[in-house]
Amino acid sequence: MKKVGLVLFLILALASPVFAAGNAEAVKPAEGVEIDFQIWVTPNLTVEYWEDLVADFSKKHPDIKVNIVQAITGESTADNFLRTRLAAGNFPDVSHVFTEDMFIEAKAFMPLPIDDDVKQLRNLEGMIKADGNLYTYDSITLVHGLIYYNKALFEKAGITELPKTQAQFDAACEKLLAAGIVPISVAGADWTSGFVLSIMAAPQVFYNNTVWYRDRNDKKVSFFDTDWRESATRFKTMYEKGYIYKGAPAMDYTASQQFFLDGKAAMYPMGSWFSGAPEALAANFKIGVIAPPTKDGGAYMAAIANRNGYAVSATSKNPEAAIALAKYMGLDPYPVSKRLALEGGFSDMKNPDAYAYDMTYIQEGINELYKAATVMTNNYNHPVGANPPDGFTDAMTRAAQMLLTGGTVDAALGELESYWDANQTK
Amino acid sequence: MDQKRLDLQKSLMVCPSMLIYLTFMALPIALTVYYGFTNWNGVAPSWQFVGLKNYLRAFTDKQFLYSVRFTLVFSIVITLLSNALGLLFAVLVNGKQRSMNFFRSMIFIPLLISPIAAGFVWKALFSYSGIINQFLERWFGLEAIMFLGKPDMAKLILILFTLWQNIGFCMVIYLAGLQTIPPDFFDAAAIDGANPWQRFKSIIFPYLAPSTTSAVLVMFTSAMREYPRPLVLTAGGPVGQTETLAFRIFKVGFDANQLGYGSAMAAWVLLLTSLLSIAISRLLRRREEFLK
Repeated sequence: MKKVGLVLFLILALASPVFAAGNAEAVKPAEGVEIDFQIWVTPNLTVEYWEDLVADFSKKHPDIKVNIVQAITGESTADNFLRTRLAAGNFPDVSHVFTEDMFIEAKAFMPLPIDDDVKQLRNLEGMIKADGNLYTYDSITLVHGLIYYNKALFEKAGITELPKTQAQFDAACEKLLAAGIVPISVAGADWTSGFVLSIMAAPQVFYNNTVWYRDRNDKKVSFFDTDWRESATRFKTMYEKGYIYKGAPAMDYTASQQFFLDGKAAMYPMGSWFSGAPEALAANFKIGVIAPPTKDGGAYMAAIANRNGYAVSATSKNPEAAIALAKYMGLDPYPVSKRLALEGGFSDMKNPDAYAYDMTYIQEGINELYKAATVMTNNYNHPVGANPPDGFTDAMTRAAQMLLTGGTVDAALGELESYWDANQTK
Repeated sequence: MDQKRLDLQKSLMVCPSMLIYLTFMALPIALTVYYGFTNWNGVAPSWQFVGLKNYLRAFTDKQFLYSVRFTLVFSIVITLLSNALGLLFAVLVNGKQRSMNFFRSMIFIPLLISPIAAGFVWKALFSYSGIINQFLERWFGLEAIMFLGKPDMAKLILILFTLWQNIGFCMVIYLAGLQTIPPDFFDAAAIDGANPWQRFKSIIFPYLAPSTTSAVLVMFTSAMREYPRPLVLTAGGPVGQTETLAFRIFKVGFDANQLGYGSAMAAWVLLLTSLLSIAISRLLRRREEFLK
């Protein structure tokens, strides 16, 4: 009996700190409020970045205590993390969200107030959902469609004029090949393959039809149409001719980026966030940037605007504090300009000067292209007149991998066509 | 204590484990089957019943059907080779010498490593600019091989990786089985002049029948659920050629937000795995009958 008593005592003694901790957490400060803020950590947006922003916000709002909740990494978005939190009933007060539509449909987010500050958003109309509400604050445009190049290798190959048309681009690739230089580094082993196919196709497909996804939903267009067929054929041909590195099917995102940074390939198609990466700035050669080539030489780029904003939980116990934080993160010049600098983005506000930042020399190059771009459209998994079916990026990856591994253009386009048909919900 | 009270006491003692079983085993299975009849996206607070639509769709979904074929072949290959090699190693290291402990540990250690962590190591070895290609290039002047970029090669590497981790498990099961064989049998065989192959064929293999049943079933069912290794090593590629069933179900359920359809797929897989496991179990248990 004594032994049983001793064991019980030990269990209670060991468990008491757990209960004590639980109680301590439950007790909130007498004055002020406490909110949870889900962050998404990337190579550019580090934990230190988020902590700095929260510290700045706390200075301006000393009565609001912000608890940082870091979403698990290893996935391309925080969607699954937020989904789990929603199911578990502890959805964060403020989320840094990618796929907001799914959560809006689940009534997980509350409509956000549209005050004079918010009305400064250039794309406000485009951000308002079909129900007439705004659910995220975000004022950033990120450019998807860019091709970075190694200036030293271009010079070595005798490329004196930057290619704009597809013919000029092919000629540049031939010069690079003749000089024994791999023209383009592409990751074929993961999602990046589909992303690159999309940004190379976008200037043709989405320039000619800026509501292509909506038209596909209405069956007015098809992946077998000329624009997609030409783009896919070109992607396949670029690999077969050796313009795209022959090892691409076996390289992932990190490996392909490193291949370019090691000076082993002359070009690297990637989004504007690469321009803020410390590795890019530390390269031992100068990096330039061009727009994906087009038939007529016009700079039509794929970009995403206001697609990664801050939303407030519909069940937040402190909605005013949560809205204040979401608005700060999405619209305040300090966090926004800092993020613009880290990701090489552009302000979507009517007063962009307030969001100016010290651009790196690579970002200066993107800025020139951005200003000269005739048409900017979304692409890939972002709405082009309408959202693509969920999981469409997976179909894009498979299609691109088919083109890189000897599959036919028809098979690759058939992959996209059949995925859309089987998964279209609207 | 009367019998009724004793029965009641027994029933009450079973309750906690029954509760755990129902909550964590029976209920998730029932919910999976149930969600398979809905169009739930995994987040929305409501859903509609769609009847058998999801269950029938699986039969026309070429990616799902491919994953069924690939996972079955993968499971059969892994089950056969893990057991054959596990048995071979068990027989080879079944000695009392100290060096045997070292070899047993060497074969068993891969099993203790997380498949995710080990996957990164294998990826570093077999990626295009990986250690093996660098070695081949530097020492033999060979061109780099696309181990993970060609479908057949990627499948082969995935199988080798899985085997490397699983052989240790089978070896331990067979080692335990070898301890149960009475030494007299080997003495008698030695007197009769049996060679090592005859000893294996007539004593070891038949008497390891219970171990074989356990090892084969565990290997088969775990291979049918394979997820982490293709996730890290190949991300299901190239062109979805290394997508196992669990991988496909996760993609449909959580990336394509079709939890209803994903649940229907999972229910089919549960049925398939159960039927095959029962069949394998019955087949193998016949071999055990002579031991009774």
